Amino acid sequence: MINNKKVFLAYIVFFFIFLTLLLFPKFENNAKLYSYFVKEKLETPFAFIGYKINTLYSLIKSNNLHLNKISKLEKENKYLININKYLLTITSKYSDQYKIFHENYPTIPRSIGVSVIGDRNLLLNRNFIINKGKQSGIAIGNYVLDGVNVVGRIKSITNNNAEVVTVISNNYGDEVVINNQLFIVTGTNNNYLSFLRKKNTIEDISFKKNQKVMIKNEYVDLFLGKIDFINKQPVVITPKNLNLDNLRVLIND
Amino acid sequence: MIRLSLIFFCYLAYGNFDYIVDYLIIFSLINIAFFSFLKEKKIYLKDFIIFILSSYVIELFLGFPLFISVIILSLPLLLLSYFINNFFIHYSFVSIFLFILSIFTFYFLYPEILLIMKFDDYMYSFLVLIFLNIGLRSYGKEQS
Repeated sequence: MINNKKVFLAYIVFFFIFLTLLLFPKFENNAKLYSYFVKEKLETPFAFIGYKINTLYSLIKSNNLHLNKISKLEKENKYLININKYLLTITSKYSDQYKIFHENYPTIPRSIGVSVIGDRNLLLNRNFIINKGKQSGIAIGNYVLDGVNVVGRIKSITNNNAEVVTVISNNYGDEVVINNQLFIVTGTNNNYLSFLRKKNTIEDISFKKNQKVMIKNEYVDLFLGKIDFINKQPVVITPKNLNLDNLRVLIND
Repeated sequence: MIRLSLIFFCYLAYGNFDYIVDYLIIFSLINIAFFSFLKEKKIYLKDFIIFILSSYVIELFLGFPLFISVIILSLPLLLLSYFINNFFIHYSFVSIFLFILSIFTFYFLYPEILLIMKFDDYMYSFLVLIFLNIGLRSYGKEQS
């Protein structure tokens, strides 16, 4: 049936090769190993080109994906900006209300700490000198407090010092509030302040002992003293000894 | 030359792609081997060498003893060739016959493929059938 001598010869040759490989498995293994070795060497350039093509393809694909993503995000961004504008318009009245209710914080008055550098014992004229002046923001008329009570007011200033007239000095005078009524008091060089009034008019006003006497300030009401009576005359009693250790000057900005 | 270059391509491509491609490579090689042996009544040395080469590559990839198919398969294939080429059978039937024979051989050589392959994966193998038909029309036995 094999009508070709060459084919028959080839068959015989391969028959013996097959027998040899079958009897000596080492040769067969070597033949297989060499075949795989040649395969690996031959496919290296193809693998390299394939890798490059794959990389290029994945790059193009990812680039397209990213471009699509970017265009989607741009659209979304535009849409959100429009929504935001619309919401801002709608909620503008609420934000104004919010500002009124929440951003109108009570103003805390600014004050600076001072210490007495002269006339501490108030010997001459019940005034004393403090170590801060114009450069620290102090102005004439600022109140000097010992933390709770009014101690005095700034009378005169230099750049670095100021003179304070104490509430007990007869050079001191101020407008006070008692029961929402305004009165003018003046120092007496004693530990109380007397009311300035027309003659025989005080009888119309009824004071009670220990009523609080306040000074209306821009931000806070300051405590000056309490009502008392000396010889049935109403006066504002201040502490006997002024505490000059921890003074603060209230600055009106 | 086409078959030789195809064998070379299959030799390089095997193991570098998907399992479906590997299946197609082995299947194509089996078809090339059968085609070379059965396309004509008379076997030429060139066809025989191609048969040996393709069967060698199959044995190499599937881990069979080398040249076993040349020695053992040649004899029944000779009988088949006598049967096919001595009667008038249309190319289409011959190509279908070769195709089915290749599938059976493939399952015989590599039975795990039955579990691995899905039904859709077989669709690609019909490409082989088309090329078989074209090959037989171009290089096969002349039909009156």
